[in-house]
Amino acid sequence: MELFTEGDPIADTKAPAGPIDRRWETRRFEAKLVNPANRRKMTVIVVGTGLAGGSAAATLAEQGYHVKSYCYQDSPRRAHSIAAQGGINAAKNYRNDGDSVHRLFYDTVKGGDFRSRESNVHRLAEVSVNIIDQCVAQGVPFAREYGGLLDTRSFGGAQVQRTFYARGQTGQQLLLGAYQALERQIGLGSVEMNARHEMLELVLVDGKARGIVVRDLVTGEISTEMADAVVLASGGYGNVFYLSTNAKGCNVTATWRAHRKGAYFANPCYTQIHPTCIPVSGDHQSKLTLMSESLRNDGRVWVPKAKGDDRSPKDIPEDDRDYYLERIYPSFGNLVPRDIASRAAKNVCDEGRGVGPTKLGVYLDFADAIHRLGRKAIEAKYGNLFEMYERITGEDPYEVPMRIYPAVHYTMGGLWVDYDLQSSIPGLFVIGEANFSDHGANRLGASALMQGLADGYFVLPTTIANYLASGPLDKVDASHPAAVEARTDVEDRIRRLLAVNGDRTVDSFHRELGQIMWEHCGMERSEAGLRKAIDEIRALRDQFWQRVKVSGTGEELNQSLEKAGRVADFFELAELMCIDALHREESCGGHFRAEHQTPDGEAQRDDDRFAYVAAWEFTATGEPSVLHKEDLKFEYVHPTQRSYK
Amino acid sequence: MNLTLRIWRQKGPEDKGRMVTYPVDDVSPDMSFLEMLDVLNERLILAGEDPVAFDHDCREGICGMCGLMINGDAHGPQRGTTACQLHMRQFKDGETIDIEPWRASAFPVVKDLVVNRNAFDKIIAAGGYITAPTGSAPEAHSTPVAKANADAPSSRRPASAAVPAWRPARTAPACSSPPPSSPSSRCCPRASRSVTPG
Repeated sequence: MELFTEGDPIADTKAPAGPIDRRWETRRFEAKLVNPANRRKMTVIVVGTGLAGGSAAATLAEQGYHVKSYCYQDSPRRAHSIAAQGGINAAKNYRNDGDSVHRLFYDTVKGGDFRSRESNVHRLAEVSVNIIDQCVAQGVPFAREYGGLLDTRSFGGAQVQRTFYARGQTGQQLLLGAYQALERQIGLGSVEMNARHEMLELVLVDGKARGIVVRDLVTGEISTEMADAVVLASGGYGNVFYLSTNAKGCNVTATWRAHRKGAYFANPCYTQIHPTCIPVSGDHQSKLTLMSESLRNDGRVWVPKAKGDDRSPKDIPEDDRDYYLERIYPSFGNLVPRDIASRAAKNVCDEGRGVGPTKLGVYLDFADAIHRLGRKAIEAKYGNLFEMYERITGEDPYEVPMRIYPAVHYTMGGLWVDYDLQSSIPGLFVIGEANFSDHGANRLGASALMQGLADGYFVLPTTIANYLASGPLDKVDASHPAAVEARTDVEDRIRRLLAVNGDRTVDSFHRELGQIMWEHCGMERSEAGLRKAIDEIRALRDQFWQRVKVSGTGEELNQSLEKAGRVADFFELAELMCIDALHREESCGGHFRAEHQTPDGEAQRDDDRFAYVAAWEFTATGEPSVLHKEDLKFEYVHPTQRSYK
Repeated sequence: MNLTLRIWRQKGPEDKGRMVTYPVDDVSPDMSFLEMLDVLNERLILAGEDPVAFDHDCREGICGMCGLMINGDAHGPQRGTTACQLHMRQFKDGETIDIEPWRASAFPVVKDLVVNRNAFDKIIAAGGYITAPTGSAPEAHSTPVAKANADAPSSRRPASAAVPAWRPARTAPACSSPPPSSPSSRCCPRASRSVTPG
């Protein structure tokens, strides 16, 4: 059987015509408005309370809409945006170092290896400056210079210093800002907050998104919530690999359920492997911990020149060390983009020059920086990260170099959206990491926070009005046949999961799925490997539905049941990721096909055949998906072989 | 390492609850405390028993979702460390470890080690925010903030940290007195990677 079929291309992304720096202005003016008196009669559901969802819910409520917000955590302030460390990009040009909106736009399109949409990225760069203003007004404690003005630092993929940061906790501080704006609206009665609730299905009425089915994770109660529009801000799907830097609860269920209901899933194979994570220590490992990219500002990455050099790093003299990033990429050095740094680490480990007990690790060494700046300066900049490293590994990075290795971190793919951030289902909007739109095949560091907040504070609140103003929509409630059917589907699925009562735990299946994905759909992919992975995933998925053991019942707090539902969806997504990776016969950004590389081992794009977004349409379980291509046009940034040498 | 765990089991808010003893063998010192609980739960599931419910999410010490009383201390014996960042090398082979939920009337038990901490959200909703509706912000550089205030760890930052430097914050000391070192201060819901209790 064919793995997929090809359908009609996507002709219109709804981006306005005209010069790129006028398009967002044009769209804002042309978008229809909703009269303030009518806004309070309209309900918007927002799933997820991270930077995108939290900021969107707060802003929509400020505008006067009635908002229902959902998160699986016990409080909206737990969302995984909180874990972002390094910073947030903005084209403020406070450094006077040549930055501009156009340069941030250019760097982001290039960093994404020319696989993102110019119109969206330019808007992101324009809005970036407003985000910093907004967050400062909320009291976000960004780092400051001596005089009290904002400090910035460098990040990968850019030669200007445009990254604003709050120690190693930028995500936490930004999220607390969005969370407090959200709580303010909760206190005012404009947002109805539902923590410890998980979305398990999307409700479509007459082809439009009109509600969701949720499970109360404490009582197990299933309910159907209706609205005028639904916004998904449910994050990425990195946990398909089991081990990733995502929080344990991060999952694809909200977006996957929407995909099954007709929302196209775009570029699922674009995943970001972050180069600086703490290496795996054993089979018990449940999660991988990131060491911020900002460490590459002062840390130097190296491995021994010789294979199998087992000396302690202190005993390896300079002449026997290979600072391979500085050697291969002299102009960007240790600050090459993430995809490049990750693959370089993999290559030196494949050559047998990896370090640490598993030999899957490279050194990130601060000795030079400590010598140059003093231990105190390094402590001030990175103290909390060094402490975290020591807690996890038991080693003191002031004395011995850190050991790091790449780990799954972010997913650039996600639900397909148009310029308005609306999916292929009318009334279903997708923001933040859950959509695909701005990062192409590789996201630059400090751009995820920027995109989440751009979508939530500024873009969605403008574009969703255009949809809502096209109403009024028919009044529907949870007794509508489509809503009842969605709810019944959810209940049946839970019953099925509980009924298997087999002999393997959910985690054991998840771990095995993760190994297949890491092996064949991780840092390097090949046709043979992907075909093998597709077969293995299908076989394992069948096993899952025959042998999984979920304890307890559906009518209680049941973490084993929660995990089972999420892993079942990861199985379906995993197959689509491999099919997407297999069909994309080129290398670009985080997608590296072994068959497509330049003579010196860099990603070899094929712009003639693959300068498009792959948007996948679900047909039926076990049936081939339909590929819709959205051609990417580059009018302002001419695609070139990305070079950081 | 071989350990004996004594864990609080409580089916729901109405259940009386009790300590239950579980031996756990072959614990690696490199495991985190929560990974050690994962091992126990995998075994309980296969044995047809109810696994121990506990809250956790980021497992990197920042989200504040995990929270256990370990041998009577919030988050266990290592200062400034959340339960998910606590590693088993902090314990001795053969040790008996008591694991309980937080016990305070503000945090009612939901199940086993899971408690309800919504009280904090209610405080924030009642006024724990700065009013800055989206779109109304002035240029970021129009309000300088003293570097000392911006640099202070979040757990020690004075409430006035966000106040422009030209207002009283400039004359205020960079750090207020360190927080009290009572166990309750370690339950601070505003978790921080650089938790620096007194």
